[in-house]
Amino acid sequence: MERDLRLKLIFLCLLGALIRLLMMAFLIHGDCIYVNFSPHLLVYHNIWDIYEYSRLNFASDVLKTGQIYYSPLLYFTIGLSQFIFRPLMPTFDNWMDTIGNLRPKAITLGMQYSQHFLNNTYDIQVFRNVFFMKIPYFLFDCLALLILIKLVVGNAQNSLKITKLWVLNPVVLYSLYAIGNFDIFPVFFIAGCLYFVFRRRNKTAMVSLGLAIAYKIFPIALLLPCAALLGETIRERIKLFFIGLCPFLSLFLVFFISSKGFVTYSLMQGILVNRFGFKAIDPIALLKWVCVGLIYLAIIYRAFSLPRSMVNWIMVRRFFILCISLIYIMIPISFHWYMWLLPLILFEIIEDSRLLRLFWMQVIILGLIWLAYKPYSIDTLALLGGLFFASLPSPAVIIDKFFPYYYVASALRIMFIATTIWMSFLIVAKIKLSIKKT
Amino acid sequence: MKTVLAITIVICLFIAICLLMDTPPFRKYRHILDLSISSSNTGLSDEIYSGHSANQEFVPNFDGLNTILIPMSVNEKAPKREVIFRLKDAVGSKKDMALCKIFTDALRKNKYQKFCFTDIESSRDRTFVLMVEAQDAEKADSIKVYITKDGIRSFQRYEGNNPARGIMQLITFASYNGNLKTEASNLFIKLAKDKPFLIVYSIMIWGIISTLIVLKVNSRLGGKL
Repeated sequence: MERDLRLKLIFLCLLGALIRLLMMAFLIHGDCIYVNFSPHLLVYHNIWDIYEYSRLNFASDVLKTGQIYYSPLLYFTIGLSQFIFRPLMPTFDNWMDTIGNLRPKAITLGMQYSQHFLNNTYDIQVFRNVFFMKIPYFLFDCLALLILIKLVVGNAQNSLKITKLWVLNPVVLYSLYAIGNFDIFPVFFIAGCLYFVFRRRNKTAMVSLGLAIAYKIFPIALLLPCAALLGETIRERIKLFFIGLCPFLSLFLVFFISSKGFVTYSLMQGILVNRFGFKAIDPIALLKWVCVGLIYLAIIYRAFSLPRSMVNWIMVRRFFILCISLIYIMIPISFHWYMWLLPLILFEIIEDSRLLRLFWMQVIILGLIWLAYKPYSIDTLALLGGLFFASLPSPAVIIDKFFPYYYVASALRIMFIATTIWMSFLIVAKIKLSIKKT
Repeated sequence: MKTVLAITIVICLFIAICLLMDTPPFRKYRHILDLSISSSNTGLSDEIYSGHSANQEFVPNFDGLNTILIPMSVNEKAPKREVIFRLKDAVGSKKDMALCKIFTDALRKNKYQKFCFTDIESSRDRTFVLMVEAQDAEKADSIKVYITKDGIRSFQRYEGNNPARGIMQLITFASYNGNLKTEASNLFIKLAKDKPFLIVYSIMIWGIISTLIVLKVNSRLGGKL
């Protein structure tokens, strides 16, 4: 029986690897080019401070917003990967430089689809370069799966279920290998945090969470509840909080002090302004923030007041789910952002069919919202069919001919929020039940 | 097995849709999005009224230019006026390459207005000027087009015949004249150009596929292999 399960596990992993390898070489999106373009300046042009470089080289407003880059840790991680695979990608530098020359025009003229980059640049090794651009994602994807399997102890069936849900998950496949976004890095470190909580190594868990924050800002919402849950005394909690903040804060401060461009050209500022509605004091946005803030405080209070005997990795995982659900309710999320929830929710859905149904419902809703738009669906096929796919009408355009797609997307978004709230209630019920049992 | 079947169905469905979209009845629905010059809430606009036209120079990246979309604002209470879209090869040129007349009551308020014309076959890298006029409109009830804050020098905007800053917000489309067969052969040509990668990649893919087949056959035979 055990041998049979192991063979099934190998079969699933190989099938997942096959799908991934096929997607890695043939699908490309502007996001993947965006993530990889700036680190190539580090590897091939020795530019260590991309933010200052952007400040000095791009003066206009439109170019400014088009040139901002994500966190420094991502810059160095992607740079390291490009450095390792440099001998295998001899044309990469030239290709990226051509894209670089095209970018100011592309940003100003709204030509940011991959079709424009591919149509206006010629690279004889384009498939190879695209393939190697996604290698770090593949590596972290495999490592994340390994952690998830390690966390399912003593139940081979559940290991199989979780492997199946991860390797064939449309969100993982789409986010990493079609869009080529880097959400796997913070997701891997969140999974790592759970693993270290499971091993009772709280400080390492906080460092892992801190690394996740250093890649993308969203796990900062998990920091306070995590410190509140893991610490026994107030002093220990504060200590854990600062340990968690360290990886992010150290990199942030180094750049904040040394680089004038960091404030303007790191993506944090743009996200705060555009996604969270900080542009002006809008009463509705403010009300929304107050409500979500109060719920967040309630979560922290509950985490703080929970007896230490009840705190285990399952409890931490459930609190994390609640915090990420709050983010999903608060901001209009992209399809690939649903990855944030995956390493947490998969453990819940293998045990609860109601959550499994809700999970698929959410994936379908987000898919319907985002895949209807050309840049997020058809455009990823630009490498396969040149202008053939670029000329296809997107589902949103077709629907728009009969009914404004904006309303359809808004209705779907409301449905997504409703299912997220429903999911959160089920998780709260689970927390209450486990407290009662103890 | 169910998973493999589902993946196969999705791939087959995808190929079927592609083949269907390549047939003549569906070709008319296919356009290539080219330039998309837009910038929300810049607060900048140019007014169109008698004797003052909004003119924008642009260079398409594709052959077959056939549609231009322009966001416009119309005063609904103002009397019905005629708006003329002209496509020229230079600001001073007298010859119209395309012309479209529309009345203000047919314009949707603060929405993109569509200016369609027959395909211009060799439009790629050629300079065009879009002129929007409203000969009988008064300054008080002028029609507005929107301007982005930044511009690049090669795309000049004109207020009347005078060069002006910024770019008029517009989206251009071109027709698509290729077909799936040509694109597929181009794909194989591109792949074949990087032989070392193709060989290693193919070995990797076929290696995994063969292992998957062996594992499946083995499980069917009850692990006898």
